Amino acid sequence: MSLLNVGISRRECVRTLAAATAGLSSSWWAPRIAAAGEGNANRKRSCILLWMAGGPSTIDLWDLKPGHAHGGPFREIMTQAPGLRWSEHLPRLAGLANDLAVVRSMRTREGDHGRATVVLRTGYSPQPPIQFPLMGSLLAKELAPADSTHVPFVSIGSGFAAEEGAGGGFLGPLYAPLRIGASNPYETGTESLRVADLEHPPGISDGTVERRRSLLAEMEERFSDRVAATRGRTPHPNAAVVEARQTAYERAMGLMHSPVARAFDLEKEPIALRRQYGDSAFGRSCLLARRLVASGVSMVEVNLGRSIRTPNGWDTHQNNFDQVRNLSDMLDAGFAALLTDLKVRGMLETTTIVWMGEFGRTPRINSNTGRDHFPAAWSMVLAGGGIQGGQAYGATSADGSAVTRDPVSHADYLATLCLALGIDPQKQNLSNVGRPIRVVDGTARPIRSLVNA
Amino acid sequence: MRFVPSVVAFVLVAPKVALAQGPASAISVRIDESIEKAIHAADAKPAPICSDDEFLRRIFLDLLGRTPKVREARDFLEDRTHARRSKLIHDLLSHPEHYRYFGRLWREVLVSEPANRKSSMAESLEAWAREAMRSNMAHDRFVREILACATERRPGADDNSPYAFHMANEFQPELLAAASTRTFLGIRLECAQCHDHPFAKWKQADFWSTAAFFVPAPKEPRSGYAPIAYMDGKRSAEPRFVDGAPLRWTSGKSARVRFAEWMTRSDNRQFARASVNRLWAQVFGRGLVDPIDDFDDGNAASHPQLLDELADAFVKEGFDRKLLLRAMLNSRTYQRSSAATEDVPADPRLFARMSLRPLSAEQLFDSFAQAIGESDRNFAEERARAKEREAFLTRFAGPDRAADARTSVLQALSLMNGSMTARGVSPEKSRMLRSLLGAPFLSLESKIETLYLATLARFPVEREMNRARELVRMHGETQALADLLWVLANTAEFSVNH
Repeated sequence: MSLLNVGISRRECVRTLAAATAGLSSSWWAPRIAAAGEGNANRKRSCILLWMAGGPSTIDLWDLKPGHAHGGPFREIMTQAPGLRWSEHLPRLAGLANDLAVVRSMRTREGDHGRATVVLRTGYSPQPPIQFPLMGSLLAKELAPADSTHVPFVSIGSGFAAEEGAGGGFLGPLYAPLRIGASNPYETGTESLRVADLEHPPGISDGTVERRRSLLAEMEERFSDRVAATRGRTPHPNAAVVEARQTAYERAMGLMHSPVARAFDLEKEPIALRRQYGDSAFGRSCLLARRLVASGVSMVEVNLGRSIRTPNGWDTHQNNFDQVRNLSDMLDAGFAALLTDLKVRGMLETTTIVWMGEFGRTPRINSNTGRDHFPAAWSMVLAGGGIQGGQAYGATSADGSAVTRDPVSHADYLATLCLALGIDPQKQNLSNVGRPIRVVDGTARPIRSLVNA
Repeated sequence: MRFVPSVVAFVLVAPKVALAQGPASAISVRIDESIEKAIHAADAKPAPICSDDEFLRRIFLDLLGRTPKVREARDFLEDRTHARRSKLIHDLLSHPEHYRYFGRLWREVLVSEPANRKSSMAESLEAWAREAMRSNMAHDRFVREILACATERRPGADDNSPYAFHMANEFQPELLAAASTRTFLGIRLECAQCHDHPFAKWKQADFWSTAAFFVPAPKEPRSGYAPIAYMDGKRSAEPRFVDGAPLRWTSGKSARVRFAEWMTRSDNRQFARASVNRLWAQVFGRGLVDPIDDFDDGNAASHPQLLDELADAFVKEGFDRKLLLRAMLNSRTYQRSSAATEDVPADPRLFARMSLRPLSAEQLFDSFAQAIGESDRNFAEERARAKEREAFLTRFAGPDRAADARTSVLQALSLMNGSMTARGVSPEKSRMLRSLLGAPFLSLESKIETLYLATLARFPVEREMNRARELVRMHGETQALADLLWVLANTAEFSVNH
């Protein structure tokens, strides 16, 4: 590809190509973008992913089967939206149902935590050697300004399944998530949600800092020229290693002086509001997500999985109902407070929230009162900006074992999310193997009735 | 066709590569022939042999998990004998820190879950693996001892045992089956746990008949192996080997022991291949099959013939891990520069150029401690350092392939502003700086050289020396050397294995 010649870095190359391919998007999309842009051209959108690591038992949350042997002990309650019912353990969310759309017909293929997580979070089945970025990275790239002083993507809390190295992937380190509180899932309190070492050590003057930084920039040049020069050919992966490190340093220096740095101080929030979010790592993470979005971060992930109070996360092979009830309490408080808070601040219209895990759980209750992995029929939730709330989309059979109406694949949901966010899902990025790859797989069919953008 | 490196710079003192004797030497030669043949077939050239300082830093990081100390660096860089590289390889392969480092690496591989990694049983496993490294235990036996380890009760405080591998997998047959086949055979059988996998060849029944080997033996003697139930008891599987062979009952041997024996048999080529490939990836930064736990028809080896030859040689030499390692390290392929040069192909699968690898959290911490003069501490200080080390690893040692963590914003912040850096570059607290600033007989030049050797394991080039002198003129020696140490420890050259 001629574009790759003459010594431009991979990052520039991706940018150039992105610009070049922006015009290639499929025609069905073009008018919609234009229409969406007319109303509020400067509207800046954000996305919050509430990731339920371990595979949540959606049959006990959003799509109950009362009266059936698979139903379990939970009762259904009415919500704010006529005809829409869900678990009694999500009462606060029930009062906000008009902002939520439940997709009850997710049908995916992977039942292994690792693989399912990769597919759901990147939007693609692994095809080595392609390094697929996290969906969050793809969205952040579209939503955030391409500027290394800006933090486009923050991920809060540890996931259950191994991340398999997924990060910025072929988009490069510029869009890799800044991971907060991910190192120790057993920590509690607000301290673990802080970013350590954001300030110079005491006694170091600004002059010293400045001098050291400029000397560092000077020193880096020699090494990066030595290992990363790529005149006239495709870059060797060695170039990417140096680039990743330099990006991290640019980012780190940028973050030290950014308003985002102040977002991590949750103590700044009134106690009453902090209480609403709930006394859990998830609740605090939701509050942090709101503060990050308010300070300009485009993409935030919040994980609810394993912690000291939820040792199995959502992976409830044994004793499903007690565990799901416990998790529901945390989820209900955090998610409902987040929606309300965003709404009060006028940010809900521009913030789209996704709730999901890597799969659902078996309708049949096993001999340990647990439920096992089940990708064939499960639910996920979309809420807030661009989403037509107050509805359930698709349906499952009376025993919960099969999708009976409007099956939705992972790609379909992602394309729908793109629509809600005003992103062209068919847009292409140059991958690490030199082949352009769409934001969402070309087979995706977005669900228009879920979107009001 | 043999490639002759352009050695203009090394005419007088060129190190001889591949000087090892005997079978290791023959393997080194085969590695280079095979790798270079593929490079030439791609109409490209391999990178030149790396300089001594590049080699020095690389081999210390790869074998000891840290950069060389100033003394070690000077000794090697001043050595003018031809065989200096193979001598260093030989010395480091029997260095106590090498056994310690490799023991820790096995602990990471075998007990990957962070919660388990810190347990006393993981300590015991590490001590066991360290001893296995010290005695150069044959790899087949090493794996057999892991799989066949007695699990009826926890080993005692003084009893080193790989028990933690079983504990980390919760003693559950399905987890043990998945971890064993993934770690030792490079096969991801676990995808088939829930259903027949659409892409891979493994069926659900294959997974469960492997898991059946790990069902605990019943108390009373009996005449067959216990089956395992799955799909909520709707189906069950008898132990059967992945290659299809059924397991015949033998009195007095558990199914798990039989599995361990089968897996490590010398005619189980997949075991030898996966073992060799793991070692290759450790040395070269990527496997001949990569990722190393994804042997699959859809993920072919870059050099299938070489992989088979290495596997055969490994079996022939009695699964001698150290011998194979020595062969790889003495090859030209290992000793190629990581620098970008004309005509060196971009495809990392050709191994034409050494790959850059961000230091692991452990390598970074230990190299940093070394650079600020804190690697030789007394017992009381050792405890404080162990705590600091643990905290650093907790923050930055991500799961296996989370390379993100190693190049992350958080790590950059820690290296720039963290308390260890603050202490390490403080003229009052830093051991390194204090030793230099208070030395009346050291010239300014050798002080600057020392900082370069401590961090980058090389001498400064002339331009760098001049720049450092200029800093001293402008800001005084104390401030300038503190700045210089901060800068050197924050360079990419420091935090990357190149």
